[in-house]
Amino acid sequence: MGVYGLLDDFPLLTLFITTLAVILLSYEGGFRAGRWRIRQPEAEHEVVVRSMVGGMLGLLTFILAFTFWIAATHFDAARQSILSQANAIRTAYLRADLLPEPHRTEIQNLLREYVDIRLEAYQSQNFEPLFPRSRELHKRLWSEAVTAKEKISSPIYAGYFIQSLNEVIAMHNRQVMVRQEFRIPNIIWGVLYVITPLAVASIGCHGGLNGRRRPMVAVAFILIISVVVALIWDLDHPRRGSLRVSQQALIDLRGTMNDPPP
Amino acid sequence: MQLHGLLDTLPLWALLVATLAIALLSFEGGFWIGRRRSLRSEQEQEIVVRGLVGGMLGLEAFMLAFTFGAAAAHFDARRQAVLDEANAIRTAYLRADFLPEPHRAEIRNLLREYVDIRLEGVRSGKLEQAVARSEELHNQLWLQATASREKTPSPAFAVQFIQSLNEIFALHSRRVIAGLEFRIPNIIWIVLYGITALAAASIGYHSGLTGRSRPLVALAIILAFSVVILLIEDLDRPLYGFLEVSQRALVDLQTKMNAQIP
Repeated sequence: MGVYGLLDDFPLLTLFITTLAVILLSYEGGFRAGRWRIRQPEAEHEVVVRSMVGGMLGLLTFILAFTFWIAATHFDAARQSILSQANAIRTAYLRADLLPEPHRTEIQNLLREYVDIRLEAYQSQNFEPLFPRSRELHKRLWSEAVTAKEKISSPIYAGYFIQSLNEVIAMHNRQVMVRQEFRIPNIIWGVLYVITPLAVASIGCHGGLNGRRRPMVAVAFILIISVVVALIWDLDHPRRGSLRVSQQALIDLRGTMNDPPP
Repeated sequence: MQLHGLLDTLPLWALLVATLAIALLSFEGGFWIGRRRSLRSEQEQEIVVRGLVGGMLGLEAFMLAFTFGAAAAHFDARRQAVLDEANAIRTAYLRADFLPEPHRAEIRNLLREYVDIRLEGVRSGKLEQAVARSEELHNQLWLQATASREKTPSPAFAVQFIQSLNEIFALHSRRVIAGLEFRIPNIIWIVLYGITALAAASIGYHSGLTGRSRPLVALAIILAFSVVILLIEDLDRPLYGFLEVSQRALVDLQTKMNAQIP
């Protein structure tokens, strides 16, 4: 098992329902344990359990809140990576004007194709061919730049273009990394799925000791916890589920890159 | 430094067992004292103890949650450092194209060795050696860069290469700092274990004061605390555990350098 991707195979809805089921079962288990305890000759005092349940819920809400925050920063990183990519490509496209023909046209065509394959991958939701094709384009862009440099009268301009091309390549690599690595690690998911049932079972146990199941409050609480867990998953997967990173920056960019005259 | 060393050498399961043992023993101690107190004629009011236990557990939850947040931020910083470093090395590698031979080939060999050494250092855990060797390579790269500057036809390109080289040096320091010094300080670990032991003792005391049996929920809360401490330690370890910071960005770069792909 790797560092990431434990829950990748679940669609959002399945994840939500499974989480709900696990938590409901642990509530019921806790409730039965509490009822069994109260029938023992020397059961624990309800009041002791009450403060422990309070502490347990405090811990659970804090850990959920921090995990939510981590997932939100990952979502932001995914959004940021699209934006920086669009900016880097725009800069390179503009600076290509500093290069002599025919390299200028060739480079601008390649950059246009570079944006197109990204938008295409996003529309078809198929990202597999994107990365090898991007690398291919990097290679061709770089060799164009190197040849253009030989011919240019003033190397400062070529230098500017090359700087922006390096940025385009770096932003691509950042996108790959954000996609593969800016994720909630498996161990955090594991810990969430240990402490959430424990906390809910404690509430159930407290109810059992009281002899009251309190279904309305319990179900409301359990529902909220499951929604938050599902939301964390959704934020952590910027290309799946209901929250998705917008590609608007790239669409806008494509609009400003004029197609070559036929 | 010694406490980190100690915590890092323990395997994670041993750490979990040790934390559980400390918490359970503190609980037992508190319980025993509570029982003795409850047998006395002048008992303290249970309701006062209840409030104190609530505060204690709240503090524990806060401390665990914030330390978790800090450890997660450190983990992110380490991950970011690897990514930025891979990008900087790639840029320098590409820009070496603009330097005259034989410096170009020499610099590329040095950069390839640089990546190999960093990956090897992480794989074998011999970080000190890898850092020392990396700094030697910095010197050699710098010598090559300044030597090639004399011979290059256009200084603008040499300047660009030198810029990317400086970036590599700066990121090296950042990575060393992020890897070795972005750790949770000893004093926080001591406080964390101290508070955990005291919180477990106080719920034990509260239980002992009010009854003769140990509540089931106490076990759940002690387990939850221990699991969260395990998570913090795992996020905080620079190299071992479930959460090894992935070196994928550098491995990727290594493959591409060997295949001569930009």
